[in-house]
Amino acid sequence: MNEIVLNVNDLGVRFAGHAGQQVHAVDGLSFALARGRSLGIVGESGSGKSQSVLAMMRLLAPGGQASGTVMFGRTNLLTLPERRLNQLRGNRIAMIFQDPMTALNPYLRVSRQMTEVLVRHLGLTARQARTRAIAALEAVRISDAARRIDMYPHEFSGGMRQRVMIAMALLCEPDVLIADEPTTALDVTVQADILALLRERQQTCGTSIIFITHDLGVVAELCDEVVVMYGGRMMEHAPVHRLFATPEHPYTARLLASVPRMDQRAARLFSIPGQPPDITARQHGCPFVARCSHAKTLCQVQPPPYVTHASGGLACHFPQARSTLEFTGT
Amino acid sequence: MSSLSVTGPGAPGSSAPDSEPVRGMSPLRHACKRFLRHRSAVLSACVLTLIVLACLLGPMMLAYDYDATDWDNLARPPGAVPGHYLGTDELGRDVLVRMLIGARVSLLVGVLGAAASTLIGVAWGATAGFLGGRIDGLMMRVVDMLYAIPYLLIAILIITLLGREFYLVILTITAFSWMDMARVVRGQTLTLRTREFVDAARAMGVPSRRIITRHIIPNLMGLVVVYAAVIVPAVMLVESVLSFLGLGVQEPMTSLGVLVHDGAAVMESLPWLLLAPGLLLSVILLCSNYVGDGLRDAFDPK
Repeated sequence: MNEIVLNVNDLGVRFAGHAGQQVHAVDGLSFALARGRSLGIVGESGSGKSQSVLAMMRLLAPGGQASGTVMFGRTNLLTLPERRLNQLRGNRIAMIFQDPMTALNPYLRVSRQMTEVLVRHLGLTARQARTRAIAALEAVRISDAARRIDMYPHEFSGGMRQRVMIAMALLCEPDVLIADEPTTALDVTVQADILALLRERQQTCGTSIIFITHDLGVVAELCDEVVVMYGGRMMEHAPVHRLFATPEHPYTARLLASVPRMDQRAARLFSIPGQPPDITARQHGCPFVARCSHAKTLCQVQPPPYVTHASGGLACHFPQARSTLEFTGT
Repeated sequence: MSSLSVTGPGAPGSSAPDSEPVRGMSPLRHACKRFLRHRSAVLSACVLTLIVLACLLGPMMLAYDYDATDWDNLARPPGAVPGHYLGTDELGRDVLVRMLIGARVSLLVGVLGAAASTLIGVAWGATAGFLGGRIDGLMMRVVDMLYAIPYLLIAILIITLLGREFYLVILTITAFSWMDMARVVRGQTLTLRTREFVDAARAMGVPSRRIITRHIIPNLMGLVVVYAAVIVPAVMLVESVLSFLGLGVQEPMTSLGVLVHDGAAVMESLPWLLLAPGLLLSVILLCSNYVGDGLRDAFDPK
């Protein structure tokens, strides 16, 4: 039941910056993903969440260096030769990109882009692939799929294109689906639709999902577990209910506090003061120290170790006592 | 369902009726439609087609050979002798036939030169753009160096040393006209490489070689077509310049540039020898530039 499909251990992403200095975009990311489960990775812009999944897919921009291990079954994706990797990508591991407007090739019919995957990975004939692709489009509720499949991407709306992307990613019923902010570029009304669809497809295909977002509402709706990232590091990892009910890391607590709530009137929305850390500068202490109201001297000088426990993990010297948790604002 | 077979992207064709059955329309076909709406470009394309047809068929239908001399009719003005519609030159050769043959050579040089430049330019630029880094830098410095060389000087040198051969003229022109294409293609490849659909294709397990042929090159096509259309008149102009300097194709073979050159020498006594080929050259260049403009607007509507 709880078979681990993807095991990420101490994943790091470095970029060669100017004058030979190294920029650590991601540092020490570790988690295990069980079959059929969904994991949310949340964080602000620049927290390294996108870079970590790009590293897992070996899609880092030139100059990016990944370290650690990403075990898919018994193979380490980071050291796999390109040819073997291409047999897995799109087949056993698929990815959905943030902007459906740019993630489809404008010069190719949707049918070509979809059947290419099937012919390549499953060895289907063109005709079989076409039938299957049409079925996949129907599964993401694109009406009149048999006709629409011969259209070009610009003839679809944004929401429809994202459905096409989802259909395409799930064509080979992958074990792992990585979704990098798949709803950010879409209308709010379309967002809910796409999320419902993702969840439905996930359940029918038995796929595990890594869901990257900065929208905590989406996480609550879709994910079983959450990893909170900040400044390229893991702050907290917990089951979604535990995280929302009793966040242990001050950053998580404040992130939750800044979500607008419909049931409470607030004169002013809460926001975390300060700016995310500059990852080009070498950090000594906890990355969140400058913005943390609970910071002590220890936090300034020593980065808190990431400590795992039964249902997740935490990187904080002074975790929030669950009962005394309160937000004092600024 | 069998009627919905997969076909290639819409073939470029002038037959794009408005009431088409609703079916995917490729960006290429959209470009064709937009091009057809560009009046002056369409007109220019028609004129060019007529000129090309005249060049191909005209000499066969006219009574005179381009190198045959008519000793009874030397240096006759247009209309003076029936059969010699544009008159004869000082050796009694028919001006119209010589002009059409000359235009044939000029157009051939233009098309071959542009094709060769496009091939080299696309290959060079795409390679540099893909590989990036140090190789890209090195390849682009080569282009910069070629830009810095005064091409006319080298062209004169090569042709004087190696002879006035047809293929040498094309080679020399090509050697100095592919750099623009290389630069443009490299730039476009650099931006294409970072486009999300390339990452998406990679995430789907498509190997690099296939990404290049399937995803990058089709996206370059519009740009390449536009630039190739601009290179044709540029190459023809260079050929004319070389011919005018006496470095074009060898007599009795001729080209528009050679004709203009010869005509300019007797401009005062026999003006039609300059005017006829000069006019034809101007019309061809003007039309090619209009077609290039139309293509650019069609592929890049701004």
